[in-house]
Amino acid sequence: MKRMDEMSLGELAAYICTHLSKNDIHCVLSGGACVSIYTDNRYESLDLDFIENMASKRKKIVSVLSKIGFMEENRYFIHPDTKYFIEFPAGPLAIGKEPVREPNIITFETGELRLLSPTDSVKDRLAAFYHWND
Amino acid sequence: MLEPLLGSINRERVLLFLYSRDEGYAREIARYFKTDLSQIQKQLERLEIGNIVFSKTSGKTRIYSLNPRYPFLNEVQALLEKVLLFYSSDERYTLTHPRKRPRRKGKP
Repeated sequence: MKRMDEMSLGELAAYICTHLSKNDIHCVLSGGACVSIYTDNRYESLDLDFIENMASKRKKIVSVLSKIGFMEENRYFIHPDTKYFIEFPAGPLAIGKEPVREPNIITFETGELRLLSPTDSVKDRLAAFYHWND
Repeated sequence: MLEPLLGSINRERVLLFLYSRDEGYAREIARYFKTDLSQIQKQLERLEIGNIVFSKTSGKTRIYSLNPRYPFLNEVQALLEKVLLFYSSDERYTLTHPRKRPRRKGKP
């Protein structure tokens, strides 16, 4: 297994997603991190937004992430060996008013990552730009 | 009216204010309902964490609106519209028609 400070954003996200999933926290990566992955980091995002449709208790998330060294700081989880940080925005996972039925799955050597499809990712970013000027 | 559902009268006030006026800031909402500013700020913060409202800054002021990307926005708006029907016409008018032009300087 690679060291965390050597992992790319995708590898790190897959490692976290798999670890969460093994502990019954099933979530999908959303937001700018998906764009980073699909564009080989030509668009850089440091935050990993994981969305759960059925939210787990915060205590459980804190406990599960602490096993891989992520510590809670305000609403985020940080790790001393990586610049990337994790957030769990409130669900549900949706594009516009519609639920995301089939997330994309990418396998890295560090694990399996569930994330928005390229099309949904573009729609998500366009909506952020249109509604929030982000 | 929605307090049993939302768990807080101030959360209802915040949602109703933002629905009626499209946007608002904490002090303005607290002043309108003659309630504690910190309670309104707390509710705005919680609603923002829940993605139900979003904020932008204008100068030093954080201005909030209902989040157009919230998947249940139409349903929440329908509920708030119904709540407004139970307000008296005067209450509804003052909530939905804020005085925009500042009072002329020196006017008593």
